[in-house]
Amino acid sequence: MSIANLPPNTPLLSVEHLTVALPDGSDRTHAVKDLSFELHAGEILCIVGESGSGKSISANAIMGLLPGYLKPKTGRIVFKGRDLLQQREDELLTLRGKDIGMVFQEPMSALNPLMRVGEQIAEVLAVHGAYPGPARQQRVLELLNFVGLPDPTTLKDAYPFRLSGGQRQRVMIAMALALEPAILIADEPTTALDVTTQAQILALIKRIQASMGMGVMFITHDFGVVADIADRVAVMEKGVLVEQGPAEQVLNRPQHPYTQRLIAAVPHRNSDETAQGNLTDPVVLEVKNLRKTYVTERGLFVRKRVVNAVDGVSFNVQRGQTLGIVGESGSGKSTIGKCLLRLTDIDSGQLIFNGTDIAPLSQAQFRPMRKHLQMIFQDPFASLNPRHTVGRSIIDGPVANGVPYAEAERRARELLRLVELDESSFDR
Amino acid sequence: MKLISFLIARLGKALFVILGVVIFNFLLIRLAPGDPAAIMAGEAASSDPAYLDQLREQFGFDQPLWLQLWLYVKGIFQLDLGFSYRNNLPVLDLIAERLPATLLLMALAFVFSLFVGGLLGVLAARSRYTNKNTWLDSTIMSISLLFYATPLFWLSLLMVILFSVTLGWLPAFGMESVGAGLTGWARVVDISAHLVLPVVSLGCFFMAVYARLARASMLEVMGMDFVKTARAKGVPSGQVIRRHVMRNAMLPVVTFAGIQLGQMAGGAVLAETVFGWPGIGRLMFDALMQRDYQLLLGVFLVTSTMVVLFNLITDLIYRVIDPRIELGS
Amino acid sequence: MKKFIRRFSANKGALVGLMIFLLVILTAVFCSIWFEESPWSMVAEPLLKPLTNSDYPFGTDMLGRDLGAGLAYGARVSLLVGVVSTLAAVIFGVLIGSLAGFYGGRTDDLLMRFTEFFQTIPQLAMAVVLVAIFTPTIYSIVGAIAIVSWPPVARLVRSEFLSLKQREFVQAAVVIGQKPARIIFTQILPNAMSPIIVTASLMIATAILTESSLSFLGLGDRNLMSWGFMIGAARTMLREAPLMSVLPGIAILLTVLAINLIGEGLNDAMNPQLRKRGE
Repeated sequence: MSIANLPPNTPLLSVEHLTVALPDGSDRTHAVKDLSFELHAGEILCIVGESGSGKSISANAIMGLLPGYLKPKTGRIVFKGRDLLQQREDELLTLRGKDIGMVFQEPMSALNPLMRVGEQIAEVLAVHGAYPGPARQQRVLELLNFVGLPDPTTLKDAYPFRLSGGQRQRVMIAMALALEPAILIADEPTTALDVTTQAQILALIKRIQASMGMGVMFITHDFGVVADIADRVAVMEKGVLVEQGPAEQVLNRPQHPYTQRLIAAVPHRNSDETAQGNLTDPVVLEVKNLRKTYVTERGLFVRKRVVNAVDGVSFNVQRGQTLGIVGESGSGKSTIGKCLLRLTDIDSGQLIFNGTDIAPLSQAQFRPMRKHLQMIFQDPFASLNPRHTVGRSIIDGPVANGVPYAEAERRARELLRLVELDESSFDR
Repeated sequence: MKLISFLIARLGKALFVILGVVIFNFLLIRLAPGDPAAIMAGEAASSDPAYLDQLREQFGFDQPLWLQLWLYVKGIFQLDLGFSYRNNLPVLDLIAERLPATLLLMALAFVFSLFVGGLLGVLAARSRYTNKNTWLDSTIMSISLLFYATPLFWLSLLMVILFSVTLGWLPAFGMESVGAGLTGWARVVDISAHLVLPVVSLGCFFMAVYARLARASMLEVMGMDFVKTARAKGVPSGQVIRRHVMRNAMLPVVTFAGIQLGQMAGGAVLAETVFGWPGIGRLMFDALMQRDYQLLLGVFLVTSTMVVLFNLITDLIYRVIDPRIELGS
Repeated sequence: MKKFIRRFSANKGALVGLMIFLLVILTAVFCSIWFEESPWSMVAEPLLKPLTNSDYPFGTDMLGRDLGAGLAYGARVSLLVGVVSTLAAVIFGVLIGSLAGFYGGRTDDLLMRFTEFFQTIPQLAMAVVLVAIFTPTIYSIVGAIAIVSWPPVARLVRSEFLSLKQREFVQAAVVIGQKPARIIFTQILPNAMSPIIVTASLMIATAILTESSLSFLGLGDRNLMSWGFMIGAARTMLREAPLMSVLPGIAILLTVLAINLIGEGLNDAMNPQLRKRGE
């Protein structure tokens, strides 16, 4: 377990030509094919790829946690001189949690909801026979403190549902590190967290890695994360490793076309300005002091929150003008949209459309005005009724507002042409 | 205190349902074809005009509807469930006499079905999950399906044919051997022998239900992330199942068990009829045969009350077991 | 459609169930052709054992009635009661559930209280009481079974509606100005159909069991021969003619089993993703 004993430059972990087959009928023959990479002590290796690229497969294979229908066909995974793929289950049991720790993606469901948090951490100690007696509780408190959780003595008796996502992820990390493993595998640990918490967890991992000198294998699909913490990067596409190298090199001078595509797809900060509108155009929409709150009661360790989703927001939109509302997830921008379209009720404020305040109107009163206010939602798959044809979906709106069917159909076909879709899409 | 106010609210809800049953009974009598007095009197008494008049006065059939309802409800809450002309006893007395037998039967059947069913479900799930002895899974599931599709009263009859008539191992009728006058331990053994067939036949259907439910719940929990976490910590699979899977998987089974009690009450009517078990189910059947509607409705009310209270208890138990639910919410 | 058939057929049990069920349907439809006499008429000497007399392969009961005719006509009653009561229960349940799920708030609370009431009361007991008071006819039986069976449908529909309501295509429908009734019927309901269909098919099985229980207790329609009635009538002859009670029970068992198998097949066909997990 001691990292210092390894001769210099020997990798901690070496995956050699790993091939894992997929069952018949899947969209490709192998989950991963001829996969080779190394992990060294004291470095953070990021495995990047889109979903379905097989990046988690290698992690699961290392731990011996592949589901039954995925079997390694060829290759070796060498750790401390032994091929992990050849080990028996009871031998792997001694490794898991002790020499290799793992953290995964869904902090919401990755902790046993019926077991106290401290007990779950103590479990990994108990299973490996470490820290017997009162030292165990002591170690649990130490770990909770180490990962930055507040008030460890009370928190250890809490149930997971009382903690926030970020806090649960810290608990997971504490569990993974409890026995100071040589390797930490993190499988998309921050994907399910919001931006701020994500930054905190990444900082925590960096800090831990620096102080304990472990090798960290960090799996993600987010190049922003990669840029933040990676020492080395390995890029995977459809089960094949396409590029590998130091982070600086892969990010700035990608060699493989797939890598280049991925990096180019990351939205860039700079964009050109659009022309300013004419300031004398009539104001079509006026929002004054819009306020909408949601009450969420979190656990004992997060302050009880009354979320001011939208707090005193005011803005105007002129005819012919495009107003962009930007913000992080959770900033309230979608809520504004929902309020404007009366998909949800507001707490206070005025929504003045063409001179009429639509906020106090009932649904029935508002309905005839709906044809003037429309929305395009985020998820194209979710916005369309899967059981209706395209034509039907387009016609529904006008027909609901009294347009005769034949005319609506004609107009719909016109519109399809306008958005550059083939007219035959009408019936799909 | 939050807990107290919750309990009160929950009890209030239960009372609301019971009141609903009372009103339901009341409406039935009014909506049924024929003279309400004759219905209340039952077949045996309908030829006794003095009795009919007495009923008319007691229940106020010539009074405005709301007054009738008030009289009826008042009567119920004064624990007057009516009078059984045929048996010459107040309905409440008849029921009180028979209730313990039904409670005994249902309690045992409940325990039997829950434990055996749960065990079978766990075994089935385990063999399916670890891919060892999957024949066990298939067999258990097939047998469950068979019992699930079998009519309860028919299964009871089959058991009588097999174990009583053909093999002569177990008695087929009643709670005790007639006229034997046994006491003490011998009596207990005698009653137990009489209990076997009713309990098993009543429990078999529900055993199948719980087996299927337990299996599905276990398999679902086994696929959850925290199980993977436990394995990643190096916890051996036996311990994973015991400490992590089972506790979580049993929660839905417990809630469901509470809901099933309503069905079991219905099943008790059938089982008691076949086995002549002296409980309120058999009483209901007798009331049907005798066209004694006051008794029938009385049994219905008591059965419903029983189920409502059981539901309340299981609800509370569930809230205690699951730490995610605040007791006061 | 083809995919549906393919997925359904992959479940061998479902196919077996389907075949048995078709057999039952055929029997129900053609029973008056195969057995010209009413099952109530006394046609032969009593207590003929099955397979002893070529005219009456299933034997006769203690009043000389043809057991085969009873079995055949019983199929008709079981299917009729099962399907009609389930249909009624489903329609009512969908109505309640969709209103509760769509409108939420006080409507939801009120409707759910109503549903809970009917769900908490023991079902068979209520059915017994209803049929007894309104005298046993095919109508009261169908009605009683429908009345005790609708709550689970309402619950299911409500929860489907609650989740579907959040989906963006429903919000889009609201945004374009569709009226609520249209949204319920054309947008949400079609997407909720698969669990409703699966539940409905399983409900038919339960309805058949309930009908036979009622008939067994003597609450069947006196003009219609039913399997439950046959078993009830056979009770007195348990020692002398056990087969009299066994045969109708097997009929019930096979029919209910078949429907359950079909239900599982439907479930697999409509929810393929649930099958995947190495199960």
